[in-house]
Amino acid sequence: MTELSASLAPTLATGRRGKPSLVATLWSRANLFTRVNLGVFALILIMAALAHWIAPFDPDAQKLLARLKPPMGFAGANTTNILGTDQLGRDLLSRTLYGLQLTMAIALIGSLISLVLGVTLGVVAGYARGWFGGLIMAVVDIQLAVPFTLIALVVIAVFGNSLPVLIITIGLAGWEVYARIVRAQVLATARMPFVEAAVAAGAKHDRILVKHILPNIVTPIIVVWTMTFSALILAESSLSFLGLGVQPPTATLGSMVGLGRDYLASSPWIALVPAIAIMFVSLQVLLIGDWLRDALDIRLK
Amino acid sequence: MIKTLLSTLALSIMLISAASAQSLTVGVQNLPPWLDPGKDFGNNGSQIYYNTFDPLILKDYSQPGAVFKPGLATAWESLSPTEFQVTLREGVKFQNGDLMTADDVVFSFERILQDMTPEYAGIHRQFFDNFASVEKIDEETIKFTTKKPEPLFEILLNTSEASIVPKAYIAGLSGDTDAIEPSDFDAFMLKPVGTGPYAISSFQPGENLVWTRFDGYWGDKAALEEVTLRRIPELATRVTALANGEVDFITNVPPDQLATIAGNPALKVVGNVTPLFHIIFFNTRNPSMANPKLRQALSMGIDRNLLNEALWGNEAKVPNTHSYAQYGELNDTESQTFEYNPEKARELLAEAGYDGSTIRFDTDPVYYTNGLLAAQAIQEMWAEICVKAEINVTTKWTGPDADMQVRNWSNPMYFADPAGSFGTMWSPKGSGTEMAWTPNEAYPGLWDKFRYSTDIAVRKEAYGEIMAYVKEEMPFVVLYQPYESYGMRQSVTWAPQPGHIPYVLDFRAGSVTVE
Amino acid sequence: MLDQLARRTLGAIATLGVVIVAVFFATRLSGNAADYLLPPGIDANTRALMITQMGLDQPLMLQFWHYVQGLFSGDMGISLFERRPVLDIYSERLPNTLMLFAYALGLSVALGLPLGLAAALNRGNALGAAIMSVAFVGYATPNFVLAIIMILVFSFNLHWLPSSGSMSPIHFLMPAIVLAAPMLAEIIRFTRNAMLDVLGQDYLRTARAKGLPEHLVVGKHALRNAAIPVVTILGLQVAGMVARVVIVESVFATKGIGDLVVFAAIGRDYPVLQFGVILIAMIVVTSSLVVDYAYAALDPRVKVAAS
Repeated sequence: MTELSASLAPTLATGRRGKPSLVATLWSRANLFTRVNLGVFALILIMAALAHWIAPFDPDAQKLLARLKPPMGFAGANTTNILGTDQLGRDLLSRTLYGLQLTMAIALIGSLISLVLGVTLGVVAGYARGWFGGLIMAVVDIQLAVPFTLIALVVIAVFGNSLPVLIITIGLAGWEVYARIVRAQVLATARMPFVEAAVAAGAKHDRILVKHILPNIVTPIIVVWTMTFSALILAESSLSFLGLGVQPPTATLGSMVGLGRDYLASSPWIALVPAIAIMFVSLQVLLIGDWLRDALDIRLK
Repeated sequence: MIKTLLSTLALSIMLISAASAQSLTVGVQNLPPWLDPGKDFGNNGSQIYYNTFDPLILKDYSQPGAVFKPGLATAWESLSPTEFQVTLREGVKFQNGDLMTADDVVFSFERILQDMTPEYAGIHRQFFDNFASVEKIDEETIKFTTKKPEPLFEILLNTSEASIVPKAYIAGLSGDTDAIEPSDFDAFMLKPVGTGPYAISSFQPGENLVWTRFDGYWGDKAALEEVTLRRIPELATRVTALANGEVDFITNVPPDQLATIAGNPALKVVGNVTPLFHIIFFNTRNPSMANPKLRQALSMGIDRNLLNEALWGNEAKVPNTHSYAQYGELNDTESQTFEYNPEKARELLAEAGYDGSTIRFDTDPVYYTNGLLAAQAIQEMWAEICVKAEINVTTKWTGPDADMQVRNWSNPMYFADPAGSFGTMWSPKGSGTEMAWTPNEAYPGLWDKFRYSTDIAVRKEAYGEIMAYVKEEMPFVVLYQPYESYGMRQSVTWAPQPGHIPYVLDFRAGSVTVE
Repeated sequence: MLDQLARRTLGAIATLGVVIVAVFFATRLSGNAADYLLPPGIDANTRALMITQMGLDQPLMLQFWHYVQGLFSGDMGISLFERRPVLDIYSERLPNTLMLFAYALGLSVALGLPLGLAAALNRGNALGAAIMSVAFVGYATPNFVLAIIMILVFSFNLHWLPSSGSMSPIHFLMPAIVLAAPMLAEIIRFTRNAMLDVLGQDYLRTARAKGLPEHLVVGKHALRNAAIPVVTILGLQVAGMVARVVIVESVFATKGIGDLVVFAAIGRDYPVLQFGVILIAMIVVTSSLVVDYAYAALDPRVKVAAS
């Protein structure tokens, strides 16, 4: 998770202003590979969202006497379970779809929490300098000094493991990146002559914020958000691997790998299917993030 | 340069894997953080004590029954139903060279009977509650006195909790070298010394332990020169370490992995049905679980044979009641305390007025083999009888919590008598009873009749009555005796001995050979 | 400059202070440690006695006061679980973790710089694309998946490498690779991007125009400048490594501090957890100070920036 703060530790060149035709511009800058990638990713999102309708079985329904069946095409496979069954005879395809849904939902909600938290605190720290701004930046420094995994361990140890705790914990990851970027941007923008002129002319702060500052931080935030997303997927799966995620039988991709890892030598598909799903999704998000960064010409050192 | 480096590396691997015939490296799932046989009844500690410590009375562990053999005592007799006298073996040495004396024996029991630390107090209550005093008659003779008649003298003196430890050594460990202080016991836990055939020559708490043959042992010398235990908590890593020759022997192989190991021609799997029950128990003091009919229904909703077939390949043993074959004559083969009957379960639920509210089922993620899988399977079985359960995976011991409803647990056989398994947990002072069950007023009388009667027929009958009461009250459900497996190289000959309590890694003479 | 360093050092100390307070009280929000430490089935009386013995029945502020006093006198407390000084436990384990870090850092720099350079010089061709794909996959693979797959392939099937333990340098190879993988990917990406930036700069064009051979242009001018962002990344990666070492150590049964901290967090071994968090915060804070120095040394134009 802290890789995040690392890769995005921002000394940030001024981003481009958002243009009305942003999406169209972006699409025109995408090469074939990127377009395919975006299409596949959209497809995955749709599949995750529609898990309830497209999954062939109830993800938690057990067939205790049909455990550990391999995927179709391998000896001993069940014809109905395309990707085989897990350690309790549950359909692996259905569990993977539902797991994907939950993993994406956790990463999505978690990343929105950190985004809102980070942007708000960043704006406040940039505007209200003084002791309060200093305090916020001090908290940022502390968060940077303590790796996210440790914070998560303590939080989950204290509040127990449940879905809300997991989402909030994920939400605590990465907000400091937004806060730093936004604060830097606010400070930089506030010093620009036209803003100073606006202030001198008696413009209201909220107006300055909306009109001059927010447009400048939208693109870097989109990029950071995309790049954070894959790290959040990995963070969720790491916590679930340690047994600190959602409670079974509910599955996320990470908890499926975590609970299936004992079977890697004997029935590898149980852990490999969700593991490949995690890798695939996080790789895609990463590639999209990388492309966005180039396309939007944002330099995050 | 690179060549030299590579050959050094290759050599270092070879050195690790090339186990000589006199040594053994064991990959264990868990090691205890400290060692003291008088304080410990945990499953991790059970692995260790038998190799390093001796009790006064040993037994023939190759058979399940109670055939006692002289240990640190050469002879013993009952002077009266409440008095028991033992004659100590002469010339027994502790691994630090000290000669064992009558004072050591008295001290070993007094530290427990006088509750010198909270853990000793716990063992006192669970094992030696009936013991009033222990006295030195002369240098070779010790007399034990109990409050009530004690039919289990030999059995209790055979437990690892009754192992003999060196008083002078313990006193000298910290502070005033002549006095016993609490810090001495803390120090002893990290540098334990006993009279057994293996001395603990190195112990890193929770990580590794090295046993070295004790040449001054009073009995048959240890089978191996050196045994190293290494903690490898990850199953995949443990199995790989065995397949890769890094260790010669591994513990805690779940049934689903047996084929992986057995499929490797260099390896084999050995297992047995362990004298330990996996159970689930109910917090009868929680208002939501207070109705015995609800608990009976939950018991009848569990298809234990299906669990055995699906999760244990039918190798576990599903008992009718809380009783082990090891009890010999006292083994209760008649009671039908637990049965699967979903129709009856639904009726009972209706009678109990179960309102469909969710029942929380607590389970540790790894402590019990297949524990989490069984919990999820039971959750589905209960869904079949329209009971809604949610799983709560937690490493916290929620047993005494007021909001606990159901959780899994194990009831090991600490000694071969119903008092040593059902008793330590579910007697009027048992730890399960204290946590979660309030039996009626007649129960203590019934228990005393069973526990302290010297007539075996009376005891057997009383135990049957107790089981009938349990069936009515249903404070817990016995699931099965698990089948515990060990993986090892073909060159190792070892099997769990049926006379031991669960998880003992017996490497004494005659129990293990390495070619 | 010195003034700024002093300020940063003070900031670091303040950070540690907050960490100490936060972790002490946070860990105590969740019930009693005794419930996690005692074996399943312990009864109420024993439990109560243990709580008294461990000092967990004292008022919270008093416990905190004792703890802070201890910290300043070099007494980090006694592990509730292992019943021995916390400092002993960490001094046994810290060398293994530091060794792992050293291997992982060495590995990722030794491979990452040349690969990143190669990717930059081969931009647009198959080699460049191949290197970057490997880097992306390395970054997207959860470390526990990589760890277990490596164990299965190299230990279980091929018998090339030991699967677990920390007995000899070769035992550190697989954990170090897993620990290094995302960092390696990161270094490849940053080296490549930094090189591409630098290669387009005017002074390199000038250097080329002067007739300097290409390998000197790349080796002398470009690499030196590209090294600056890479050093930054390295320093910040320490925090990431600490996060990953937790899982890596537990899968490979390495006796290091990551494994210890997780165990302490799950088991509520407060003294061990507290000192672990403080120690890790110290490592991270120190390494970022070191980066500041390295930064200044590499590029005299850069002042130590108060971020």
